[in-house]
Amino acid sequence: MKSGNKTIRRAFSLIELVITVVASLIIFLAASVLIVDSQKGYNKMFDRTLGEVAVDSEVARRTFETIVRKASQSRSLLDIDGQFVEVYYYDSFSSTKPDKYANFYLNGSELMVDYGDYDWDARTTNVQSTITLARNVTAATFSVNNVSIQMILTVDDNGQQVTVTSSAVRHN
Amino acid sequence: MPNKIKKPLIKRFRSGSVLPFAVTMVILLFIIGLGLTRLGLGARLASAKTTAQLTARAAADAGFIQAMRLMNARLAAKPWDGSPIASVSDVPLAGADATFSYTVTDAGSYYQIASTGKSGSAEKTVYGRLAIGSLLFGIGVKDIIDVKVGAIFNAPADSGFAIRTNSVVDNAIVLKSGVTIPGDVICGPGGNTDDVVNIKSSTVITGETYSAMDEIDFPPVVLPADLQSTALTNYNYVAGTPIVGNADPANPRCVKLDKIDIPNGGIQIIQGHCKIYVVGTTTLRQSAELIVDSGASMQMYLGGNMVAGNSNGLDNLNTNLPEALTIYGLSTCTQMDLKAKGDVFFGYVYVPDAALRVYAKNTLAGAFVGKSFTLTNSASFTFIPPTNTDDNDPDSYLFLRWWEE
Repeated sequence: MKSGNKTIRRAFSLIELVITVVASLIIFLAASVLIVDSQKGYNKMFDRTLGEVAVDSEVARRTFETIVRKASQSRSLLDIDGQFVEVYYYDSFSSTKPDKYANFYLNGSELMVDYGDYDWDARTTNVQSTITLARNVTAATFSVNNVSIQMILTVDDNGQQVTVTSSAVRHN
Repeated sequence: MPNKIKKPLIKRFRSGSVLPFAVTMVILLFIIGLGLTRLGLGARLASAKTTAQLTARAAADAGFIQAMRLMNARLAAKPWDGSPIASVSDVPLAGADATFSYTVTDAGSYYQIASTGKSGSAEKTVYGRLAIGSLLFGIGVKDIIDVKVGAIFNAPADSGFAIRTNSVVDNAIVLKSGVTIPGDVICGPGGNTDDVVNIKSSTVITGETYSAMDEIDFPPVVLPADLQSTALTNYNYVAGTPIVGNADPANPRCVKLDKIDIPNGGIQIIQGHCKIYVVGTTTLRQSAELIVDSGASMQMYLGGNMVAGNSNGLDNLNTNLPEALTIYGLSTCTQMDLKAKGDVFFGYVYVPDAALRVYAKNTLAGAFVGKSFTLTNSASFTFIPPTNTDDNDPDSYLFLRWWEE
């Protein structure tokens, strides 16, 4: 009987086990939350710096600025609601008038640019290629202020709205 | 038997899993933290690189503009031997951790500027080709252009005709009803064309309306050395006595007058080729005329104002030859009233510091530059681009093309 009593005392009671399991569970959950939060932060930061949205925004900014900087100062075509902007530039040194154009606009959730030939006198365009500059774009607004042109992109970055602003001065 | 049971239980308790668990957690968090740090470093480097690229680009643009302005300043300081400005290297850009360098090379028919900006490891080069262009591009002013109702403008196709002001104030350019501009209308940098250019519903602008990237530099008129050294003559009007110049248009006669004052109904004729500097006021009284005869030419330098009475006229009888009558205003010339009595006035007028008021019932042909410009009712204006450039003509560099790498 004695030894039997001793054996029972040395074992864990149900309450001890429950407490231990609950405590362990709390610690485990806390650690899990910490790790998951850290991973989420990592993923978010990765998306912001190297993700598709970041890369698309950078590509859109560089393309927009490169085209606008070589565009003609004297003429541009801006949508009355700022939904698209069209600029004109020289194809080569032999061009006496701007003979190429680029039209930036939003198509659904994609920022697009049309490239093609432009007849300066007739003001007609002939699209030759269309390129998608950025996806997940929820809004694109363009404005012309003197010789500079501005583009404001709102991009949906996994449910979070990110605004990217680009501006460039026309030189030709 | 009880001991056998107790030992394993105690051992298991002592070697529990808390420490390994904690260590695992620490390692996991450390790895994630390391990744975050690495990612942050990458983002910071990318940000620094983008900033450096933008700063380098701004430095290159600043160098380009400086080279352009210095070239224009050199061009304005007559005489000019045609040599470009000296290259500069690593000039600090104010307010930024960047430098710029530029070189200007003479390529014969044009000058090429190459400007390189540097910021950190980033480098950017922009290029531009410049050519000498006349400032007589149409109507150019520093302040106000006021074109009254019914004025008619004509210009050859692709002639580059423009109406341009450096001003950005509201209504700096007023184009009344019925006016058609066969070219561009340009206001000063930063100006809102909707406010600066005042047009009516029936005004037509066939070109573009925009604000310029930079002000146009209207250099002051420099009196030619040969006129400076000419002896001063007192002007006395004698009816029927012309001012006779030289026969050789390449070697005009220099005349320096204290004033010109043509009395009521008087006619002063210019014959031959001459270069006249009027130190004081030029006055054409009622019905008076100053006429450049057919086959003659006159370069007129106004040291004072030109005042016109009623029904008078300044006429050039050389049809379609505005080069035969060129009028330059020195900085002391602040007002010029121009009236044409003939059917057509042919001439180029460059009076950058004068309020230029043109009263004409008929046709003006040539080009005008003034501090301000007013064209009265019913006049018509035909732009005739300058065909030959004289060393003394006011010129400016014009962009042929701009590009970057």
